[in-house]
Amino acid sequence: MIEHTFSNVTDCQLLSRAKEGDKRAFELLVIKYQQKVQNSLTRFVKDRDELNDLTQEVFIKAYKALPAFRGDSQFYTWLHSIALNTAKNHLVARSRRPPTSDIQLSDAENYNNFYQLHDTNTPDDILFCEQLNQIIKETVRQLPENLRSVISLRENQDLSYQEIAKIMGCPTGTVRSRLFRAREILDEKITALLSGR
Amino acid sequence: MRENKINLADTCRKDLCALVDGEANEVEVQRILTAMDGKSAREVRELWRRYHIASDSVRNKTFDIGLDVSGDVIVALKNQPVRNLIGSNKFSEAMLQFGVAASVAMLTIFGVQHYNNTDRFKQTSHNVKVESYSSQLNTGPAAQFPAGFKPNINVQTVSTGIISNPELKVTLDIRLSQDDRIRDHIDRKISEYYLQSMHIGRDGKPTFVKPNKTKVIPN
Repeated sequence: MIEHTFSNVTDCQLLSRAKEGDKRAFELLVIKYQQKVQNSLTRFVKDRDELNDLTQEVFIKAYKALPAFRGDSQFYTWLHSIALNTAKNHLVARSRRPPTSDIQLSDAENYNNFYQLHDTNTPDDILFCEQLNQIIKETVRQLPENLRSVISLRENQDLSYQEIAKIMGCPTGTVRSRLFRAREILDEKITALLSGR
Repeated sequence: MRENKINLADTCRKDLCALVDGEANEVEVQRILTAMDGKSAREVRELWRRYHIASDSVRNKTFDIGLDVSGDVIVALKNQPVRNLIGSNKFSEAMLQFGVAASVAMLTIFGVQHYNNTDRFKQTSHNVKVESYSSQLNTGPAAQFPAGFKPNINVQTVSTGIISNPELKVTLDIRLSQDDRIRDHIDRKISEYYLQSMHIGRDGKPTFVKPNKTKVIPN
């Protein structure tokens, strides 16, 4: 049974175009899921370059197999199984023994301590990610009430624009523009931090 | 940041924001994809990534700013053929094959029926004289043949009902040479359809082999 989240709606829109051969749509999916795929692979591969190669391989395999994806499961679930098989085959090809237990899908997707999962990250990377995480959270706390409520209802409660509009007693268009403004403020902070790196 | 905002139109940024939330319509998705080909292509990709970083952080999910294999993946996929396997195409392909198969099956059935009829006629028609108590000339639909096809069959309906003229005798004289010609014609048609159905390419489209024109000259 597929969970109908709004992330899935986005995936379906992009997948239908990718299936028609639109590589730009697939690229957006790669950007969205590359991190999660890497999380799935870190249990098998520790070397950073090897991890990058394997992540690429997973997405290339996924693109080639797109016509076979019927949408019975979430796109990421399907991608996760490709990642596990690719990693196992990679280890077998290198005469290394794959781990006896697979990393769970939920662990790869929702791991709370992001720096713990990444053995491949340098201490600088881990520190930077922590810093970025703190700044984003602090920025959300400092947002004006109406923007903070909108982003909280959207990201934490996973509500649609229509549901948020109903709760906040405002038109859907207002929700849309408030979310945009909130994201722009967050993006300004992220960009500033990334450009100073 | 300022530079990004100047390069990337607000409309596109709003569209991307809506797409992150699964609230973008088809027009907005298309606008984003079109922007990925233009001058602001890089900004679209980076903004999409930053929006997801922000989203993951607010949701307490893992994120990493180091990894970006999307460019390499797209380069690797450049030589991949464009696949288009939407359901409707599969459906039309299947319908086409079904159509050809149905045509062949229909022709086969009609052909077999025709053989059976002629065989039955053969059994009774070797100048066998069928005696009947009454007969009348058939002028109804059963005696109607396609244009240009007028077999020389003198068929009269035979009634076993009221005896009106017991001395009347009807002779069914089917000409075998004509049957052979009809049979040959049906054979050729069936083999042409088989040939055509076998020429369905990998793309599911038939090559439409032009059948040899054959004419049946009844006599």
